[in-house]
Amino acid sequence: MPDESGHEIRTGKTLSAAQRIERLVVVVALIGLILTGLPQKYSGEPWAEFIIVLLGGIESARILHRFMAILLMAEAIYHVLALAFKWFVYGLRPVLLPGLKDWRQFLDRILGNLGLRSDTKSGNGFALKIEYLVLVVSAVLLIFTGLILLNPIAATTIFSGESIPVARSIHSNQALILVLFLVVWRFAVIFLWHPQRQQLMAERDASAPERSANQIASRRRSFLPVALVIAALLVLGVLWFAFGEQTAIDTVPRRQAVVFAPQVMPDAGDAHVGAVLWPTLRCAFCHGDEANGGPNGEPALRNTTIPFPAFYEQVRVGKGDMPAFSAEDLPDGYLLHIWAWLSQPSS
Amino acid sequence: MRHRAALLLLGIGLLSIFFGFAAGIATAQDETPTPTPEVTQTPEEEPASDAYCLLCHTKPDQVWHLPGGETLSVTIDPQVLAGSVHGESSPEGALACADCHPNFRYPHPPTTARTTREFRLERYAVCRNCHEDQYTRAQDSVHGAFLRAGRLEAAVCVDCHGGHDIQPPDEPRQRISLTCGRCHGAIFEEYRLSVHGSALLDEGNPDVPTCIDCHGVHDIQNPTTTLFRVRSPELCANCHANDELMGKYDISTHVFDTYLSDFHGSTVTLFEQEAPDVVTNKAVCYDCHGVHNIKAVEAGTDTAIRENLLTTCQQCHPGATADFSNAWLGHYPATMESQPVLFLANRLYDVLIPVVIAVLVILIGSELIRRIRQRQSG
Repeated sequence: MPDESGHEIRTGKTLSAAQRIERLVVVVALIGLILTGLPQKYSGEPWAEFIIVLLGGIESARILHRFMAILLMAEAIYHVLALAFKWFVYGLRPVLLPGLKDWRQFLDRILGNLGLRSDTKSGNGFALKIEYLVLVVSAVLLIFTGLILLNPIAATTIFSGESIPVARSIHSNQALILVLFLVVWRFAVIFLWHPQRQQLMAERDASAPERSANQIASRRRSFLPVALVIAALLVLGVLWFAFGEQTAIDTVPRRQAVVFAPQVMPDAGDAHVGAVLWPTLRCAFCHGDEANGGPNGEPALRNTTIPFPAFYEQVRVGKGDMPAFSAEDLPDGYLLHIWAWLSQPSS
Repeated sequence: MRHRAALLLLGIGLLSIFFGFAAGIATAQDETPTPTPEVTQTPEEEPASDAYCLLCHTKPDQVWHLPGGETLSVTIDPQVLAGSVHGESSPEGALACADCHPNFRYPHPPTTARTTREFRLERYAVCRNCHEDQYTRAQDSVHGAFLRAGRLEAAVCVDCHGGHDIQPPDEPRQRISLTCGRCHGAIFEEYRLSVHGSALLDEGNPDVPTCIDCHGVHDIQNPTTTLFRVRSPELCANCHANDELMGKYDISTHVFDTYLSDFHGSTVTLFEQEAPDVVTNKAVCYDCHGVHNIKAVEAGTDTAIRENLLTTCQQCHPGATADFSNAWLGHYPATMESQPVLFLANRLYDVLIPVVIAVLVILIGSELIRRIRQRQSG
């Protein structure tokens, strides 16, 4: 009788070689995803910073995260096809999907722990089944939302823009749930519950329909080409999603700004600016704080009707007792703002 | 103040007449008057007195022709001098001419300066005598670095503070930006039209940032570096995460924490912590809001803002589609009205995570109880 991957179960072993490889891939991918993902979720924490530094920086961490995600997606594709193979060719139902009975077992276990119900002999198969369910549901959510986050532009051609922050929320929170669950549940599975996988396999095999060798061979021949095509399409899809979209440009374009520009002539003078400029300049010494004239007969300048070119010329060249002010003393733009204020009717 | 200066001038004039030297002082622009020690009673070995200097430098139209062809007005208005921070109002007492121009008497010591700029650069280091800290920090600034690199236009002390008419640099507060604008005219013109600049210059708002609030004062660092870029969100947060300050204007203080929790913000934060000199393509505040030309952002429902947002996004995400910009929540936490799906997803996990933790705790706790009961029962 084949195991979950379609391989024969070897006597005395609960997992075939293919299953052991699958498990190793899942363990490596999950640990990698947790190590590279959680520090991103908690990027402000010192421990997160420490791990990211160990990983070679945030960009390296993200590349590793993406690689581990590809690994997990590849494993998921293989796993689904293997399950389909077993079901189609051998008629084996997925053994690890929990039913109502398993949830009752789990509840009985807790109530039994607390002494509220006597222990039953129903076994601990629930431990593997619930773990499998949480893992599958989480993997589906994480892969789906991860693909959205990896391809936000493509995603928003299908879904609304809101899908991006939604995906981020689900990805981040579901990952946290999975980590918490796996750490505690694995501890319980290994040290407390010791569930018997062989028992589950035996139950599954007992419920499998009888098929002849010819039937199995025929079904295998039908399944494999279809499976190969589906596998190829899924792998291509994963690769496209992983590397297909150039989401953003490599560097934010630098803004070009003229830094040293003492002589800038604005389109129009700003009387507000002129008003605050005035008392900061030497003009006020002679013409008064409000430009209403000085104590020694210096002329009032408010409400001036002099056109700006004439005003400009007078300031630059000087007139009578008034000295000339160079552009270095008083930039052109400031002169225009002052003129705007002076020529504005004062209240 | 003006009376005192007038009396000073009158005294100098009378002394000059008394000794019969007044007629010898040239008044033509290209002629230099010749004060004598006898007039001001300043012995050769002592610093020149103010009266000695002002004898010539109060005369109108006094100019110095530099070898490069420029002329520099060397007429000093005693009123201006007395009204400066170094004048009569100075708590340390008024500075004398010789404090900043030591060993200057007529004939003046030779200078190698060929232009007014060179002369200014030759002279500004005298500020260090009293303002060592500010001078040193300015030397370490971007201005100091550019100056050492041969960019003679880089600002030195007197470019910002003036020479003889030095006023408190931050009174009124608008003076700060007006000072920077003297050299950075193009940036000033952008700033004065911005939400910050117009509030400062038009309304005299004391809360908006002037140039130095973001760039610093004397030790101004180069704002084009990667380090400045990745640290820039903290500059904005100084005000925009301040509840008291933002409360006055009904502006959300979620801008910083929502940025940090976003993909851009968390990445920039990590870069700032680990590799501040490595270029990142993740947006900082000013990539979306502008640098000096920041405009007011009204409510997030403003359609014009939304349309502009897509253009903004496309600066870095050229392929961004019309709905892409809706991924941005506008610095506001999701609500049932604004982003219902996100709101519900967040609330779901607000419940689910504690439930999962509670179940796991109950599970492990109950297993411990089982072990204790089993041990007690032998």
